[in-house]
Amino acid sequence: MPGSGYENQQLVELLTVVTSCEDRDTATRAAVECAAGALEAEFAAVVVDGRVVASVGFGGSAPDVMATVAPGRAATLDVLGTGKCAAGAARFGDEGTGRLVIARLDLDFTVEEYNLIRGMAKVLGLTLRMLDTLEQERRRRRLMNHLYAVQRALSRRVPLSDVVSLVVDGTRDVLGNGTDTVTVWLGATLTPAAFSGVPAEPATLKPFPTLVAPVHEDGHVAGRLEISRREGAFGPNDEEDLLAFAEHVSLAVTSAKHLHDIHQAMHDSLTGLASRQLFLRDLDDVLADPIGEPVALLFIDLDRFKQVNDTLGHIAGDLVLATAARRIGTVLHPGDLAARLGGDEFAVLLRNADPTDATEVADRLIDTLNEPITTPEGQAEIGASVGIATTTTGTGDPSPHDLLRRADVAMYEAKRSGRNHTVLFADHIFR
Amino acid sequence: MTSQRWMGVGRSAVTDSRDAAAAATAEALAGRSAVLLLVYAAITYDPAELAAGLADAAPGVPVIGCSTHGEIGPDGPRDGSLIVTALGGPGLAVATAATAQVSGRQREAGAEVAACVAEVGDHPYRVLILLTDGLARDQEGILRGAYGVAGARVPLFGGAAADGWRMSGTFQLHGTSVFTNGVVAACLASDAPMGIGVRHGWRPVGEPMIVTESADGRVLQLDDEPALDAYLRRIDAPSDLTADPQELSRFVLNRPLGVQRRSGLEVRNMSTEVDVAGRSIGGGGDLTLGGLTWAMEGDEASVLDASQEACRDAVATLDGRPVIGMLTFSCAACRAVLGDDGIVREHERLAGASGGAPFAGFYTYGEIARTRGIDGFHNQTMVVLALS
Repeated sequence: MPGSGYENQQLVELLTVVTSCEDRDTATRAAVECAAGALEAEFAAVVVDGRVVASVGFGGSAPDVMATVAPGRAATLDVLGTGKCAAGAARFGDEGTGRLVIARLDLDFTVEEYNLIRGMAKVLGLTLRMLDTLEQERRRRRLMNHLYAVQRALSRRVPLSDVVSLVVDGTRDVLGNGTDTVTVWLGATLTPAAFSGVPAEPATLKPFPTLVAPVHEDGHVAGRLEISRREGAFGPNDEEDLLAFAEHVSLAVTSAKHLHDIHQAMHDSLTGLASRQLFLRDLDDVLADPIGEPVALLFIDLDRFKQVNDTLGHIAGDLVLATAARRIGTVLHPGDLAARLGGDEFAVLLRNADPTDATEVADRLIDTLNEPITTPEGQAEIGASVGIATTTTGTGDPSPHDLLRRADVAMYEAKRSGRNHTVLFADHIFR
Repeated sequence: MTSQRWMGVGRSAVTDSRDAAAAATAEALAGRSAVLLLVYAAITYDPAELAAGLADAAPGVPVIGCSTHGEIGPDGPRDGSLIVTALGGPGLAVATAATAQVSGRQREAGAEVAACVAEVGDHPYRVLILLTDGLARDQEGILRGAYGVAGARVPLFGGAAADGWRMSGTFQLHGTSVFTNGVVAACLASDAPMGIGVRHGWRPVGEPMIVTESADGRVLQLDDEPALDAYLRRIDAPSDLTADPQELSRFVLNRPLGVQRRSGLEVRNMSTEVDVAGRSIGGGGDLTLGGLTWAMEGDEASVLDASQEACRDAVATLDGRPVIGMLTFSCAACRAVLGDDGIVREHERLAGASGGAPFAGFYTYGEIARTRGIDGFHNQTMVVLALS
C-alpha cells in the first residue's frame, strides 16, 4: 500500500519544492503550503524572531497566537474561533529563531507526524541558509557592478551630478527593498544632490529607520549618503555597502573639486578660454601627432582696444574682451583650440587647415570682430589683426613656441601694414 | 409557502434557451420562493438567453450556474438539457459573487469570490459553492485563494464547468452576467447541517513513479524519462497507441494517476492534455514535483460504489436530520468510463442513496470539495453536498 513511508515522501516533496525556489520569501511561502498540505492541516505559519513571516489558512495576516506555539506537539489552539486545533511546532535556523507551526482542527498529531514537522522545519532552515548565501553572492556581484560603473564614470570625468545619480541608483538596487528613499546631501547647507524614492523632506524621513554614511572631500565631511526605509529593518550588510557607495561619492566630489581647480588654473577667468600655458600644452600634443595633419595657428590682436579701455573704462574693456572671445568661438570647428594669451591677444589653432582654409577663417574672424560691441558705457568699435603660421603635425619642426612666434611675427606685419587684415607667415617676414 | 427548507429541481430539454430556463425554473420553484438558483446547462444553450429567462422566471433570486458535460437530475442523466436547482425555506441565507478573467490570477480570483462568505449573516453552517472554468489551469490556486478568505470552518464545494468535450470554452452564470473564464460562487448558510461526501473508485497499480520534472501544471518527466513514455509503459499501453489520438484518449481516460494525501490517494486525470510530440502529460491538476504518483485502475463497479458511498458519507454528517436534497457533481471522465448505460446505473445508486430526496448536478471537468486541510480539487471523483 502506498501509505507506508508517507512522512518520508512528504519530506522529499517539501525538499524538492523549496529548493526549486529562487528566493527566501518564495521558499518560505511554498514550505508553509507544502507542510499544511502534507499534514492535511488547516493552518500553518513560519515564525521568525517572534513574527509570522508566511502563513496559510488566514484571510489576511496570521493571528499572533501562531507565533506563541512552543516547539513540541502537545499544544492546542483556538485559531480565530474555529475550535480546538492540535498545534505542532519545530525550530529551524542557526540559533533556533525560526519556527514552523502547524495547526489542525480536531485531530492530534502522531509522533510520526511531529517528526515530519521537525524534518520539514530542518529542511526549510537549511534551504533558507543556502538561499541567503546565494543572495549574498548575488548582492556582492551587484554591488561590484555598480561601483565599477561609478569608477568608469569618474574616469570619463562625467559631471558630478551624473556620478551621484549613479550612486543613488546603485544604492537603491543593492540595499533597497522597494520602500526606501536614497538621498545624497552635499555642501555646507546640505542640499539634496540626488535622491530616489519618496521625495526627500528631512522632516518626513525622521519616523523611518535611516542609515547614514559620510561623504568626504579631502578628508573633511562634505555631505552624506542616506537611505530611509519605510518597511522592514536593515540587514547586516547594509551599513558596509552604504559606506562603499558613500566612499565613491567622496571620490566623485574630490575628483570634481580637483577638476574645477585645474580648470580654474588652466583657463582665463574673464573669457573662459584656455590660458597660454594650457594652449601651449595642447599645441604640443597636437603637433606631436604623427598623423601628418595640416594645422594653422592664428595670432589675433584686437585693434583699438586700448582706446576702448581709455574712453569707456576697464569694465567696458572686459566686456569687449569677453564678447570678442565668444565671437572667436563662433567661427571654430570642433577640435580647434582657442586661448587668450594675455591682454588683447588671442590664439587659435585650426585642425586640418591649409593656408587657404586658415586665411578664410581669419577673414571671417576679422569680419565678426569688426561688428560694434555695445557696452553700458557706450558702443565699442574694434577690429583685429591676424597673423597665420601653418605646419604639418608629426614633423617636429617648427616647435610649438616657434610656430606661435611665427604667427606673432605675421600678426605684427599685419598691424604694421595697416591693421584689420591677415598676413600669412613667410620666411621673408621673419628675416 | 412551506415552513420547511426545501430543494426543488426542474429540467427542460427544449432547445430555446429562454423557454428552457423558464420551464425548468417553474418546475424547480413549484410556486415557492427560492433564495438561490443553481443552473447546469448543456453547452449548446445561449448563456445570455438562459440568464435572461431565469431572471424573468424568478425575478430577484440570486443565480449561479455553468455549462456541463451532461446534466444529472432525479429523472436520470442526460445531454443537451438544462437543470435548475432551487433552494428555499426558513433558516437559509445566500450571498453570491463572481469574477472574470481568472487565468493568471487564480488565487486573487478565488479570494475575490470568497469575500461573499462574510455577507450571509450569522448561521451555524456555511458552505461556499464554487463553479469555475474547467479549461483554466491551476484550479488549486482558485481554491487556495478562496480558502484563505473563507477560512477553515467553511467547506468548499463545487465543480469546474465543462463544454461537452469540445474543449473550446465553457460558460459561467452569475445573475444575468455571463463569463467564459470566470469563477462564480454562492455562500449558502443554513441553520441546519450540510454534509459533504468525496469518493473515487480508483485503486493504485504497481510501483509508484517519481515526478522528476514538471512545469506550468504539466508533467514532463516521470522517473527521469519522458512522462508520456513512463506513464504508457506503466499502464501497459499498446505500442502504437499514440498514433491514434482518439484511441489514446480513450485508453488513458480510465487509467488516471494517483497522488498521495494523508487520508488516501487522490486522482489526477491525465487524458485531456497529452502532448504526443513533446512526450508530456497534463490536464487534471497539479502533480507535485518530487512527489510520487501511481497508475490507477478502476471499473464500473468501483466507480458506482464510490458514487454511492459519497452520497452516504454526505448524508451521514447531517446528524440524522432528513435530507432535503443533494448536489451531485461527478467527473466527465468517469462518465466516459461508465458509458451511457453505466451512468444510468449510477443514477440508480444516487437515487437509492438519496432516500427519495431530490438531487441534481452535472458532469464536470474537475470536482471541488474541501472539508479538511487546505486542498480540495479532485478528478474522476464524485462529490456530494447533502442539505438538511
